[in-house]
Amino acid sequence: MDRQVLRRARRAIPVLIVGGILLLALSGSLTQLLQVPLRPLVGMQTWLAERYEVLRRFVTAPRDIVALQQRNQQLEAEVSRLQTQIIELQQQVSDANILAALLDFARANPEYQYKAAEVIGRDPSPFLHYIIINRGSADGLRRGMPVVTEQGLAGRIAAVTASAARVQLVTDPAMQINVDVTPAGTSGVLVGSLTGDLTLDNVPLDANLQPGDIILTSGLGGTYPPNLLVGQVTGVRRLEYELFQNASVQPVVDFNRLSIVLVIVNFQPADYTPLLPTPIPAQ
Amino acid sequence: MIADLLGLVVLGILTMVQSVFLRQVVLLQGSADIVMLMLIAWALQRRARHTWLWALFAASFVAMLSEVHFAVWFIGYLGVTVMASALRRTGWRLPALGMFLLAITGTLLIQGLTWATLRLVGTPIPFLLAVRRVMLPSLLLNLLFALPVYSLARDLAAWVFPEVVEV
Repeated sequence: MDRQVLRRARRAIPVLIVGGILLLALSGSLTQLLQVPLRPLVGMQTWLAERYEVLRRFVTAPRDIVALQQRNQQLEAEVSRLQTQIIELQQQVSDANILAALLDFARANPEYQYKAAEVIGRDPSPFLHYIIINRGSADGLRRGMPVVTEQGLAGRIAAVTASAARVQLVTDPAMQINVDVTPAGTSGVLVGSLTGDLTLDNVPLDANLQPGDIILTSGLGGTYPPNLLVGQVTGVRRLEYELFQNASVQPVVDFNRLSIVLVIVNFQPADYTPLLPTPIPAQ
Repeated sequence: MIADLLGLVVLGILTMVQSVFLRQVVLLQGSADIVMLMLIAWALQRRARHTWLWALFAASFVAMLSEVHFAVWFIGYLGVTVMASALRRTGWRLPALGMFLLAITGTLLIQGLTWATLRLVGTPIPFLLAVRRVMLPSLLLNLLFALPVYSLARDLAAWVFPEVVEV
């Protein structure tokens, strides 16, 4: 009887031990205990895994670098190509905007025929305000034809070759344009200068010039067609003891950014040569 | 012969650069004249020949683009070339200093001639205004460009007239 009890007790002991361990494990009491032997094992495995990773990278890296370098070169070439394309497209958009504005101007002034031209240079002398355009007599351009932008009058053609022309800008020191002032209802002469500033001159003292007045070509003298916008009055100088008053004028055209212009090809300036007095030969 | 042809090409390119780019790089109203600077720099080179031909090429190119009377460019460019050649013949030892001196003289000569010509043809520009707004700023820009242009001319001369080494 005792033996049987003892045998059963021996069988029950492992079950109790296993059951106790399970209970301890489930209750979380074993975690702290298990960390003691596991910590060096985990550390060892981490060290081994790191060494393996280093070894794997060492073996595979050269091939990857070559592949990456090739890929990088391809991508850099692609980026350069796309950047070039972006610049070209931006230029095209800019040109299209200018041409659209010029087209608007042409539609607003349908009485004239236009020839578009690109600005390809400037007069080498800093004393003069001239530009060079890429259209010439082969395109129907003639000396004296007015040149405009979408903003207004830019100048007139001073010299022509077969494939290019030189344009005298309204800001040139030798430039003089007969203009009307609106709404002051008076007229005057617009004069250029070395500095590029415009001065409205020969305006009668009784005219009521005001800053903000608009300057339009008068057509007087037949050098320019009438009603082309030239600028705006920014300041008036009136001295009672002088015959005329004058005013400083802001041109409407930004001459530093001229890239495309329109030449009015169906306007011929008046030719005064037959009217000029000829010297009478001495008898 | 090669140097003369080279002058045709170089001065043609420089005239275009002058007209397209440098006339937009302005200080007040002044701008650099690299065509004149190249003529001076070339004439200062010890082995340069036919420098007057370069001056004629330059004057022809610039006169084609400019409204200023062609005589200004011919007199001005030939003048600075003659002065530079004369300086070289005197055995001047400091070409960089010569370059600066001639840049100053050439600028004043050409700008002065332009001012006088414009006055003669009926575009009177006040002298002091011309000095303040054009001549002095142009002079400063020409002095800035003088050394780079001189280096370019020296390299060109070394390329066209390689040194003969006796063994």
